[in-house]
Amino acid sequence: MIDSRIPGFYRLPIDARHAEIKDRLGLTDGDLDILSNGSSLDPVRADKMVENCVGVFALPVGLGLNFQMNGRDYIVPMVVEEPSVVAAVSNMAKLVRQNGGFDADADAGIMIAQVQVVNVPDHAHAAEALLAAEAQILALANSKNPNMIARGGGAHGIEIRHFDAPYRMLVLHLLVDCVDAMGANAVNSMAEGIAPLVEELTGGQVYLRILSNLADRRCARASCRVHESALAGKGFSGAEVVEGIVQAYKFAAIDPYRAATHNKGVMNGVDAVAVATGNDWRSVEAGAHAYAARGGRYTSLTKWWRDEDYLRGEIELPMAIGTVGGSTRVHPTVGVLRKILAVDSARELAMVMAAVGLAQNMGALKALATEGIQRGHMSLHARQAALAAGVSEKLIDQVAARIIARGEIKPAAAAAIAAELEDES
Amino acid sequence: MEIRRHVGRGAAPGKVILFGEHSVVYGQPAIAAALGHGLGATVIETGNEPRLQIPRWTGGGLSVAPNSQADAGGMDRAFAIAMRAVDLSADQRFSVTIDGELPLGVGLGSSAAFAVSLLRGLADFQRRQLSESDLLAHAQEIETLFHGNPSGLDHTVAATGRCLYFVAGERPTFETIDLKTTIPLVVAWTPRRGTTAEAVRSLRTRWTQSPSKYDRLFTAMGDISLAGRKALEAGDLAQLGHLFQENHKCLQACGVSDPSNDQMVDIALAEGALGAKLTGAGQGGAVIALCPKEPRRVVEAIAKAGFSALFTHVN
Repeated sequence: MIDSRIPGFYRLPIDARHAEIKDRLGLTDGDLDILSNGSSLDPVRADKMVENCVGVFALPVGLGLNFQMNGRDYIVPMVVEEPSVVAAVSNMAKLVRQNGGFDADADAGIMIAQVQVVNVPDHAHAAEALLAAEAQILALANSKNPNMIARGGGAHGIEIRHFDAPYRMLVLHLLVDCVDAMGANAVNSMAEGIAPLVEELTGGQVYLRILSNLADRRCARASCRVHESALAGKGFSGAEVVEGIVQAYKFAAIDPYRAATHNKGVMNGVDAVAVATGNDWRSVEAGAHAYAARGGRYTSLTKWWRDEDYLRGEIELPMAIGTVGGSTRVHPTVGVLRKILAVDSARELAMVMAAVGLAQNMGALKALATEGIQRGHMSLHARQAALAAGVSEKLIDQVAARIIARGEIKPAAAAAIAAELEDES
Repeated sequence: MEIRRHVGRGAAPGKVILFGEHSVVYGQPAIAAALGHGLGATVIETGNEPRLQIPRWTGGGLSVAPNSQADAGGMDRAFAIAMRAVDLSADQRFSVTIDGELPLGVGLGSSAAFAVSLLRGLADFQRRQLSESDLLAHAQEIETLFHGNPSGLDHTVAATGRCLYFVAGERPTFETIDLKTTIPLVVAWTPRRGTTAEAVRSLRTRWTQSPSKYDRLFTAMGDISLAGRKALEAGDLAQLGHLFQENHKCLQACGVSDPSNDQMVDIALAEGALGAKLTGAGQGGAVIALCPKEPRRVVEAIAKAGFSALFTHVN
C-alpha cells in the first residue's frame, strides 16, 4: 500500500526526490533515468506519431501528494507548465485526507458512436426498423471488434435521435463499453461497420460515422468535505473561507463568463493527469465543457456548499480516458508515470482524475476567496477584532492596520498592539 | 449507465493462415492468426421459444429452433449443443442473432467464429463465465458437427484471439506468437471449387506420385513458417511480405493455387502490397495481402476485378 504523504518533499533537490520515491513506488534506475531525461521520447518514435516531425517537446512532471481516495493513497503524476497547480492539489488533498479523503465513482467505459443518416424518407418508420433490428446491429458492431467482447465490453445498445429544423436528419447512437480503452478507434470502426446495415434499414444515406466526445455515459464523480476549522488561516476564520468558496461557486453557477474560468481551473488538474497518463486531453476537455453546457447554459462542473460545520464539494464530468492502447503505450515517460499512479483500470483512473479536478478547483476558490476578503473585508474584519479586544476608539484604525500587516487578525493580537501603542503615547 | 439485464453479447474473430497451409498436413509448422473482424452474437429475452437467427444467411436469412430442421446446415444442432453447454433449456424464452461479414466456406474460420460467438453470447446471457478450456471443448464439439474431424486450429484461434504457431499430429501443439506490431491485411476471396478435403486429397495423390519433389516443397514451406515467426516477433513487415511471396510460389508449385487466386495476388502486388499469398486450402477461396499503405486502393482494385475484399488486421 502506497503512502502518499512525503513530508518535506517540496524542499528536496530532484535527486533526493528520486531517492524518496524509488523504494516507495518500486521504481527502477531505468525508470528514474527516463524521468531525468526530458526527451525520453526518441525522434524515431515521435516521427511515427505525427507528420513532418522535427523534434520532441518536454514539459515538467510534478507529483501531487497527500492524495487519498476511496480509502487508498495515490501519488498523482501531473504534467503541466503552470506554477502552483501541483502545490494546490497537494495542499487541498492534505486537507481532504484529514477529513476522510475523497469519495469517487465512475461509470463503465461507455462511449457513444454516432451514425448520421440523412434523406430518410420516413423517420418514424426508420426508427422502428432500427429498433427492431437492434440485436443484429449490435451483433454486427461486435463482429468488428471481437477482442472487446473477450475483455468484457462491446456494443450493448442503440439510441435514436431525430432532428428536424433547421436540418433534418436521424442520428443513431451506438453505445459501446470500451472497458479499459479510451476506445476511439474501436467505436469508429464499429460505426463504420454498421453503416451499410443502417442505410438498408432506414432507406437513408449515412454520412458521418464517428465517436462523440460528449461521453456522458462515461462520467466520473468525486466528492469531499472539509471541516471549516481546517480552512482557517491568513487571518481568516474557517467560516469566512467557507462563505468565500460558496460565493465563488454561486458566481460560476450562474455566470458563464465566470464558469469558463472556474472550469479552466478544474481542467488544470484533470489535463495534467491526462497528459501524464498518455491520454487525449483535448477529448477530455471537449467532453467536460460540452457537459458543463448540457442544461442549455454553460455552468460550473463542481458544486460547493456548507453542510453544518463542513464545506462540501462535488464534481461530475465525462472522462473518456484509457489505460490500454493508444498513446498510453508509446511514450516511455507515460510508462513510468503509470507505475507511479498505480491504477488498475480506466474507471479507477477516471475517479482519480475527477478527484484531482475537484481538489484543483477547491484550491483555486480558496485562494480567490481569501484574496477577495483581503481586498474587501480585511479592514472591517481587523476593526472588529480590535473592537472585540476592547481597543479604544481613537486607536482602532492604527491597531487594525498593524494586525493586518502582521497577518494575525485576532483580538489577542489587537490587544497586544493596543498595549504597545498606549505605552508609546 | 444501466445495462439491460437480459441481454447477452458474444463475438469471435475469423482466422487466417499466414504460413504453412497444406505443408502442415505433412508435419511442418504453420502459423494462423485471429482477424480483426469476425462474427457477433446478441441474445435477447423474448416471449417466444428459443430461436437462432442469422439474417445474412444466404436466401433471406435463417431462423431455427434447436434440433429442429434438417436443412439448416447443422445450425439447429449447433444451437442445441451451445444451449446445453451453458444449461439453457428449451423452455426458456430468448433469441440469438448472429451477424458479421466473415465469408462462409473460404477458409476464414467462419464456422469456428460462429461456434465461439454463439457460446460466448449464451454464456453472457446466463451471466456465466466460460473458462477457456470449456469454451474450447464446446467449440470443438460444434466444429466436429460441421467438419467431422477438425484440426482444432480454427476454434483455438477463435476462442483465444491469438496468433498461433501450430504443429499438427495426434496431439497438436499450439504456441502463442507475440506480435511486435499490428499486421494490416487485405483479405480477398472468391467462391471455392470443391472442399478442403478434396484439395488435400488431390495434393496427396500428387505427393505419392513424386514424393521427393513435394517433400522438398513442404520442407521449404516449414522453413518459411519458422522465418515468418521471427518476422512477426520482430515486426519486420518487409520480410513478412517477402515470405508471403515465397510461400505463395511454393503453393503454386504444389498446384493448389488456381488462376483466380493468382489474379487476386497479382492485383494486390500491382497496387502496392508488400506481399500476397493464398490462404487456406486454395482452389479459389481466399488470399491475403500485406498492405501497410493504401489498403483501400487494393480493396477497390480487387473488387473491380469481380472478387470480394475487405481490409482488416491481425494483432
